[in-house]
Amino acid sequence: MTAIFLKKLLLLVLAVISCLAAIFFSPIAFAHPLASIINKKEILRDSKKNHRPRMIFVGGSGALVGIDGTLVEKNLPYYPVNMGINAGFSTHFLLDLIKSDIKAGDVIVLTPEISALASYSYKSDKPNRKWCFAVNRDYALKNLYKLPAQFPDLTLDLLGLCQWKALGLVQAALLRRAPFKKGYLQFDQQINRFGDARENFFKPISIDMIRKIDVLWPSSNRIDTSFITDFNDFTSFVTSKGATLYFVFSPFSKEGYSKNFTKIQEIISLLKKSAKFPIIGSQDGFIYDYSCFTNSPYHLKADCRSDRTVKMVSEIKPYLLNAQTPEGRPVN
Amino acid sequence: MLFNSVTFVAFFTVVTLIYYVLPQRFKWVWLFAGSASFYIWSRPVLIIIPLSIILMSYICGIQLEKCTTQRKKRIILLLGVFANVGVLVFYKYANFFSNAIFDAINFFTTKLSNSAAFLANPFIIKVLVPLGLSYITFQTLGYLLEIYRGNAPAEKHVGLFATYLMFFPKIISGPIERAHHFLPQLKTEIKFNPAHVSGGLKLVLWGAVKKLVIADRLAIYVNDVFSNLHNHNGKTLLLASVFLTVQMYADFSGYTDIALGLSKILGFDIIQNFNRPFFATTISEFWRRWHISLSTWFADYVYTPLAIANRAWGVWSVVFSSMVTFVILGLWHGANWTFIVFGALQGIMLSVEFTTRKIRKKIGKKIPAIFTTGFGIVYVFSIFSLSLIFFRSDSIKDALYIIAKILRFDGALYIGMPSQMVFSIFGIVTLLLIESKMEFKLVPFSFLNNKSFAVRFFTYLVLVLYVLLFSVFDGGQFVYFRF
Repeated sequence: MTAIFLKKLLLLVLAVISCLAAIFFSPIAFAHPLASIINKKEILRDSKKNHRPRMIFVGGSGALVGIDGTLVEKNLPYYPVNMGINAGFSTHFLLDLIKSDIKAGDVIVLTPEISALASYSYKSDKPNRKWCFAVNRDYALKNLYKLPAQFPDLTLDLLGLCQWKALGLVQAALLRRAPFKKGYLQFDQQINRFGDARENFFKPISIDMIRKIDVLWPSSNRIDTSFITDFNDFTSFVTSKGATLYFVFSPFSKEGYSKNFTKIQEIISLLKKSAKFPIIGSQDGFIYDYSCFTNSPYHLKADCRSDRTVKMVSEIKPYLLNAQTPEGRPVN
Repeated sequence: MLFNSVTFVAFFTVVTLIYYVLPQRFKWVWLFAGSASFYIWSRPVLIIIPLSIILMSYICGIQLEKCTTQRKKRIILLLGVFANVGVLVFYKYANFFSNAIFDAINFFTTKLSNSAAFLANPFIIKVLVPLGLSYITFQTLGYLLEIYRGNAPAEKHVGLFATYLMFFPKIISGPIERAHHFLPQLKTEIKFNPAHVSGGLKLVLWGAVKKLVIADRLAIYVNDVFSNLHNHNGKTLLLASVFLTVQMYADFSGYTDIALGLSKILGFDIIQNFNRPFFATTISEFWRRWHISLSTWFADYVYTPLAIANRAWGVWSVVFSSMVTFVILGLWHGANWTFIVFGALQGIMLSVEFTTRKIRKKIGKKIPAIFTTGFGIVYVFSIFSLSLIFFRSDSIKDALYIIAKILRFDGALYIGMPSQMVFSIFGIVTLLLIESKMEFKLVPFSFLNNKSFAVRFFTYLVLVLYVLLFSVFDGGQFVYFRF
């Protein structure tokens, strides 16, 4: 009796595992916006074949909604690729992700949220971890899951990926779209060919709510300075590939900026003192009213995004005067 | 360690396998060790608190039984009650009461003497509340009161007594198990029984569907709306309130089913906590179906003694006892005025029902049963949903704001992510269909108890995949963990 029961139980477990494996390896799209990282990696890889040098933006969601690729393409002789997605991935991970696709002549514009520098970590946040695994398995296994201690996390994350595929199947049926595609199911509808989020990507909230969540750093937090070493190392790598790296400030809210003035200044002076890469413009040029933000003090509305892009383009232009294409022709 | 974590699944598997291998005399030791490890996992140092309560209650129980005079008995009982309640009050309500006193002082000093000086409360205590404290306290209080009344003997074996109170499937959120029901089970021989284990697994699976698939999915919409109240209109707030009611039920009853299932796998039968409360047609019936272990505890040890003591007041004795009982029950949920209003609303509705029972009976006779039942179900659901708005809100002001907006019923409904909404509604419909089938015994066909192995196997496979693929794993803690 007991043996039969245990055999049936084992059979059920095996059937469940087989079904999950089938879903995991199926070519179904994910229903989660963070799966866009897979599509963005594709854009970057595909644009490598392009003869034009590229301007690759790296940052969090502030970069995703804070850069207008159309304006960049119109005003600079570079093809824009916006790799900005979510600060929870960690800048360390995002830089590692683009490494293999950098070619000579590329310009990398690093524009992480200032709070991502204040609490810098190579580790991605828990909700982002599984997406790191989906796009860069080796990096994730080496840096994010210290097996066997984190075996439960890995199991849950793999299950999480299966879940988002299953939801993708349901969502595709609801939206009457084909479910078989790479990355995020609604990538084409929500993100343009440069990787910029389209308008209304985020649902706007009231200014009072934005003010409430605009709390960056408790005063006791010490700044982890390891980001400087990381960025400098990456700059050396980029230079060895014949590309260049620039740093541009992410947008600040006026209130958030004055509230955290000391901390921000501390980070900026650290950058100015130790960075082996040029810092474009001044932080003062990227300070905005709350009315410029959609649902957080990082996400700009469309008109303010254009304003920021124009300002960034005009400030970066002088640095690119002597830039050359891999064939030796001047870029400008 | 949450029931819905991989760590817990591994922990439970190991505990169960070793439990069934051990000889009967060591089984309680293993269960106690497992329960203590489960507790230590989340609050290592704080285990000292439940252990102290257990030891103190054990000694009080023995002494109560030994006492020959009523006076001595009463003194020991009072000592036991004060010590138990004292710990609970200190951890859960000290800040609430001291804040209330300071608020009153500030009100009088600023309003009456026109002074702007505001006195800050210097007695704010920042401590972590030990897990499951109120559940342990309620069980020990019930145990002592039963010995005092002469209804049950004191437990002589401290190890068994501690295992009863620390039993890990129920330690954090109940049910509030009675000693006379649980302790005898610890003393009987338990062998591996496939029927029990399979029954327990079924309960765990159904609990997981309720908690992870239904409650946590609904919680996404509810949290989205309730955390951004001022940007949502009446229709959206109404839908969120309805979702909140189902979420609360699916969350807590899901947890209870898992607790019941885990206990059953280990060979224990613990009491039911829910009996399809949304099919109740009156508030009094609702409280006989919702959180049964808590409501019967309050009925036995608060309501009935109060009603008997004040029986000379007639109808008003019932009204008074209901109000007091439910205000305390509300306060048990947390130290906030919103919980007191939640409890008071239940008390008011129960009192109204009691005082109008004869008229309602007369009217009920003239109307077909299907209408009275239908009306009753809608009425109970609405009243309970209304009271849950207070339960869920941060302040009474917020709750009143929500109610006012709902009454205006304006604007277009906010849907959020379409797939989330579809799953939420699908979850509610599934719950309703299954519970209707159980309540009214509508369909004789059963998938899970089908004679065909293939049907049963396929049903289990679909259910397990439904849980694994459509549950929300980062949904966080069970709502009732914090009480």
